[in-house]
Amino acid sequence: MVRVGVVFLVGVATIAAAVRFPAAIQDLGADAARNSALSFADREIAGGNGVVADQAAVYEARGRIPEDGTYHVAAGPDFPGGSDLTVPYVASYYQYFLMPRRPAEDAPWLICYGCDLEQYGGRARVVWEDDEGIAIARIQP
Amino acid sequence: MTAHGLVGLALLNLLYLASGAGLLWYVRGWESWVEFARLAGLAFLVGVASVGSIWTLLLIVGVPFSLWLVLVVPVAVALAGLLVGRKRGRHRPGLGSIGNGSGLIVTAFGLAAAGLFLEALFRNARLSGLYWWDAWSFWVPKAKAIYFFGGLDEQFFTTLPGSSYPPLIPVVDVAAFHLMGGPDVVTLHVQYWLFGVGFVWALSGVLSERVPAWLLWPFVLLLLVAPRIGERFHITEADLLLDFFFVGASILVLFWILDRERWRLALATILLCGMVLTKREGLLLAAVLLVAALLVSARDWRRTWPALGVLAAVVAAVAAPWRIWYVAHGVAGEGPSGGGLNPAESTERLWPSFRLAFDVLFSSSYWSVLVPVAVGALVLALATRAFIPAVFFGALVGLVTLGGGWITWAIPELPITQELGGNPIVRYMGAAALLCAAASPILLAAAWSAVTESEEAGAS
Repeated sequence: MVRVGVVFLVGVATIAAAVRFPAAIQDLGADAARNSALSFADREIAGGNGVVADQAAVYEARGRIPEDGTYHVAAGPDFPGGSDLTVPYVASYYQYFLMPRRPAEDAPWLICYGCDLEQYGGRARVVWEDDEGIAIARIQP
Repeated sequence: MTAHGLVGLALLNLLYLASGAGLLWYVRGWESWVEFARLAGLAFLVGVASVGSIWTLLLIVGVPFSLWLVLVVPVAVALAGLLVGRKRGRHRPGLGSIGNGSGLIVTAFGLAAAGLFLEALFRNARLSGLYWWDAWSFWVPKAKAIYFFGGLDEQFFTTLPGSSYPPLIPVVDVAAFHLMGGPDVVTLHVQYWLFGVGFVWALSGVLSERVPAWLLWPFVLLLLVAPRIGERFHITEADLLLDFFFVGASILVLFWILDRERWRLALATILLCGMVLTKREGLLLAAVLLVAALLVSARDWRRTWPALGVLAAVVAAVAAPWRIWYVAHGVAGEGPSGGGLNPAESTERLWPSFRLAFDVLFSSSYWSVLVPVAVGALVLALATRAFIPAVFFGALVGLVTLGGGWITWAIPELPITQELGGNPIVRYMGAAALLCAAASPILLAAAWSAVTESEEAGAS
């Protein structure tokens, strides 16, 4: 009886593995095809594609802010673009993407997602902006 | 992804293998190269845990994390193991024989199928972007911080999410960055794929000592194709590496209880050290494993408990420095915000929390039939009086599940849901599911051999 039980359970495991195996290989193949079809930017930004609203913004930020520089990401609650994830997580994504640049409250670089540039009293000089309402500004001391 | 990156990763993983092989040579040795091939997966896993732990401890005490450190530590571990092993009189291994018969055919078939799956996963891993929130919000940023600043940068390590999580994962990521020539977060997925390959190799190699091939390979293949296990081997997060260490240590501890070969406990201790430096859940899983081991070895407690006490002391000593570091830097602790020790608190969450853990454990959409089959195997092992493996795995899976319920109950901010973004229960319970994949063949082999032995005793 025990032997029948052992053979039965091994049979269940074998059938479950055999049934799932072709679909698993197919899924992995489809994922691999999707990954290889991505553009360089889509693959590099990856999880940020649903957050940053505009790929050009992260590349502009990386190109303009020096590696030893500091920056601040300000996202206004009424930012019209992006997704539900943009306002709560965009600063976190820039932190990952822009390293070794450091985030700092009083940084000379501002990455503005629909923020209020007026609050800088004319000290904010916009060096890049897009149609989505994202801007990169240099804050004058 | 570049050829440089892949060659660098190959070198790094050869260093992990070499350091684990050195330790294996020191504590056990091997009679033949065929035997080494069987145990090479275990050596790799032990190499990752030992070298990763040493790097982590050096980083915590302030040693700058450079390419030289990445290279020197595994080379030193490998050489030390080889030299001390030689002093202990280890003999030069022979070539050995791979055997023959139906077991070899089943093994060849199993290896071919596993190889096919892992090759498909490699094609997925080599060009995968970094999509997972935990990965880009704190695991990889921590690794980048170590890479760019050479140490535990206070700004990032005290403000990033999960700041109390121990840094072994970022450390192995940084080692990969150094060998790849830069923080290539795409090729990094291949490193995690290699951890998965090493685990499958370790599991099949270690179990093949006690489990016939026809009982082993169906479960190896089933764990590979289970929706939330094999297909996630390449994900650059801590959960699966933690589970690999946990399952590896669990098997070694069980086999040590069964045959008292001390090298098994030594290697289990190294894997447990890796666990407590990988994720805070590692502390819970290490405690659960220790309790299960104390329970099943109670009959011979005079011999077993002191050894388990030494194991616990070593693991605690390795776990302590990181906890001292984050307390000294004002980071909130790893304990649950709700306290988690008073059953009178949040009583309305008590039953739903444990029910959630139980539901996740038995969910076929996550783990296929791994858990129900393991329950069946447990019943058969108990029916044939194979009490030690049955009670060990029963206690272990039960305690892991209770631990999952406790986490949800003790952290009132966690919603009682299987939603991945809201509650880590599904990721945590992967440890129990992977354990079931390892336990089933052991339990079934124990039941089968108990029947065979009883028939032979009856005939004589």
